Amino acid sequence: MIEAVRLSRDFGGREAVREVSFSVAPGEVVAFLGPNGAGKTTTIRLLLGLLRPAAGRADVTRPVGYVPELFAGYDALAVSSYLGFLARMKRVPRAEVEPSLGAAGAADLAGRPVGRLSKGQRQRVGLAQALLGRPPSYVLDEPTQGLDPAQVVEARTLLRSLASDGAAVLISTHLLAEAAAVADRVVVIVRGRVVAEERPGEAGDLERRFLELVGRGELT
Amino acid sequence: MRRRGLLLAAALAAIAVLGFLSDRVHGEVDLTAGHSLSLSRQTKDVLGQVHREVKVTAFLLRGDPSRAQAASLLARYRRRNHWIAYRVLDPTDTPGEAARLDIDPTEGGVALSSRGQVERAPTVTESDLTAGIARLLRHHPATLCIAGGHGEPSVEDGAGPGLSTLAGLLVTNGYRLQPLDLLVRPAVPPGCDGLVLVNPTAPLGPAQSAIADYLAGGGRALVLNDPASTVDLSPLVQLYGMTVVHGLVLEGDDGARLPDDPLSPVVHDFTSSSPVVRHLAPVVLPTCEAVLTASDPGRGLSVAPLASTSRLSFLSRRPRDTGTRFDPAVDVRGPINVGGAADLVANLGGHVRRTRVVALGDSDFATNALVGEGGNARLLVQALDWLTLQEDLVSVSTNIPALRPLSLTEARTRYLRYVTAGVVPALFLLAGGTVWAVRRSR
Amino acid sequence: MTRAVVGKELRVLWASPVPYVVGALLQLVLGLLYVDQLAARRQALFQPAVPIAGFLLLALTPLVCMRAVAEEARSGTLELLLAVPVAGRPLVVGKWLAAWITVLVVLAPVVLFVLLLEWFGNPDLGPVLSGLVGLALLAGALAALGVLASSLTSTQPVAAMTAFFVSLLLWFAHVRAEALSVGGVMDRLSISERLRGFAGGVVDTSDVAFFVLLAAAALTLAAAAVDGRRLR
Repeated sequence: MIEAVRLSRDFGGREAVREVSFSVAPGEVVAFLGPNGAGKTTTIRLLLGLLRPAAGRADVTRPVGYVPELFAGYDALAVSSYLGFLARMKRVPRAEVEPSLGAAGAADLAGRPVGRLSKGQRQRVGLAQALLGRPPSYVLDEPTQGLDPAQVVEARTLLRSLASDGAAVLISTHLLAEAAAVADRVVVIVRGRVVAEERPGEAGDLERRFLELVGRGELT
Repeated sequence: MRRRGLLLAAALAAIAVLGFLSDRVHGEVDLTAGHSLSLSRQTKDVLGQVHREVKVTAFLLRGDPSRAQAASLLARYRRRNHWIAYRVLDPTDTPGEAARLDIDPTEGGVALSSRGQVERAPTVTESDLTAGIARLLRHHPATLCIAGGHGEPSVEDGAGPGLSTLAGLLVTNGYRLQPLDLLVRPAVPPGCDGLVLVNPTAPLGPAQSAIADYLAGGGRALVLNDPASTVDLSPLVQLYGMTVVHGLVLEGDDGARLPDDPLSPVVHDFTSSSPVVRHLAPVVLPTCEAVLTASDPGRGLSVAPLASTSRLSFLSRRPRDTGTRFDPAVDVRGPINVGGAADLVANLGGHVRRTRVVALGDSDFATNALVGEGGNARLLVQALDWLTLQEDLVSVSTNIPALRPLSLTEARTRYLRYVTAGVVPALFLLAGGTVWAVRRSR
Repeated sequence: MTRAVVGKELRVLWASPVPYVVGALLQLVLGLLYVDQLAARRQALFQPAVPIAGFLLLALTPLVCMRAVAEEARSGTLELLLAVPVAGRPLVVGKWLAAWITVLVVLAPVVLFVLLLEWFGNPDLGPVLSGLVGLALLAGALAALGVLASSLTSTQPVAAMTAFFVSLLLWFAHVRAEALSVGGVMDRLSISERLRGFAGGVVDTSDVAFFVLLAAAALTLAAAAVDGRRLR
């Protein structure tokens, strides 16, 4: 379960998010959609407890699998050591490393130094790290960035399977197609406020609807 | 957030308190072979008696190489007792302060002051500092009267057989010296806190009864006999349970004499618990005779033997006839006792009269030539301190580190440099390069 | 958890050129200066090596520690760990231990000096032992200061310079105190004065406590700084 209740936060007087509310139920994939700078990452950081909300609260069932927007790793370590270290930090048995790598489609990367991975490979390792211990909640910031089309399809299948195993999955993205393809619901955020929350099928042409929302957001 | 801040502040405060406590209550372990960095036991004893502020002002030029050492020595004093406060000043920066404390700015030195009393010491060394503090602790300096007029060595004589070094040591330790000519005026003045009688070579005559009277009235005396003199000092010390037995101690144990010199015993054996010989280094006593102590001295008198020579020594009673040979008929087998300390307490209803006498079978060890050897100086000062009831005052002989020569030739120095500054750094770089290469190849 | 951090830090650190370069520099300068001292004194003393090595550690330990937290903050791994959430304390303690171990390894070849002294003379092993203990404690305290500096910034050079500057202040804390004071607080904060006893052969519990508490204080602050990055 992931729930944001009227979350607000400003940075030095500049408002970043304002009264953001939405929830992700177990078994659901929700896409967090918005243009760059809309407040997606701030909201995610509030959900993860990395930022203190000025008002409102965030409820996330822990532990939570987190994929940051930019891959973060130790260049000197091999992929398996990197995941082994994070497994220890997450208090997850080391035996989980291999299945997580496999599920993220990164089994072939186990022996490679993190510093020598391509962008797509990093993204897969990042995903594998979030899968460690199969947590009940996932917060994924742009998880398919840098993947090739085949890998994107695989990743989407993986996200769906996580949800069907009962996890609450929140993915942030600025790709409409991604939101439409994988999400049960789409939460649209513009200028720090949630402007719409709908099911991709209901709204008809998501692209037209989004542009309309963004345009409206910019007018207000 | 606020609670976290409070916890952090509490943790830091606890660390600060622990730091403060660890500075106040601490112990140390001296790992050096000769305990050369520890303050000597005497310094610790003296510092244990400081219960009021003692300000130590050391004047050392900024370029003086001993300045840092002096500061660290003073810090050790302060750490031992927080009543000790110190400053290290450059006399050229503070001529007024130097003048006020009567320190010559060109020579430098140390001034120790407490409650308006000022004592001075020439150097910032442990012996000078501790003696200075001991002088401050005492209210007035004790006067030692030095007997003369019957062939005794002089405290003004700077040559080998003279006593000028001993005199300087006694002054450093806070004594005032007053030479007496007992031939001209056979009387010991009442101002004498102690009498030093060193090896008279002419018969004492009326001076002997003057000294006996002085002792009987609660006097204190250090009596140094010597086989070289024919004057018998036994009558003076016999009343106090000691007998001087003439002769010459010959030492047969190589470990207890100067090399190949049976006439110069080095006494290690201080079996007595008397403070006179407490923590004493071996004492060199060339040509000495025996001092016997009574085992059952009688009412109010206690006599302690101070030192004895080894089992392999003997007292030759007629050395001119027998040379270094043991003559079982007359000679005495070792160990030979060569000193005693007597303490006679008489209760005169109302007040206690106390007579103390230390007698030793040798006088050479106190002369300029030998007073610096082993524990000689300390034995003398401890004896006088005990006699004049000033056991707190001590001759500080600091713990001196042994020399540990390093045989370094030019070639060896080059070799050392090559290994430490060449090979070792190169190995580090080599290891780094290897790691880099391995990582690159993966 | 701390052990996992130590293991990871050691692997990351020794994969970088830092410890090798630091080791080479330390041993080069120490070797040259110490052998000069030996040649001048002609005594089998380890004592002169202690302040020289101590001052070099002052300059070089910050280089070993600078990346500890700053680099994790810059690369984003710190955020990943904080989101887990991992507490500041095991993280900081693990990083400190790794830095300390690294400095000790880099310092370890000084044992060679002792062997050479034994070869050419007869050194007093007491001061050698206490000198090594003193250097190890100093390294621990400096590593803690380095980790603290690193936890306050995301820029490694800033972390290194801050740590070096603070250590330098502590090294010379007694200098003014000696002239001014009548035993103030500053001379008790001087790490060089604290090291002097160890160099000479005296292990004083208050000096041991000083280094231990200095490290504890720095690590407490560092852990608070890391925790402060969460919930800002």
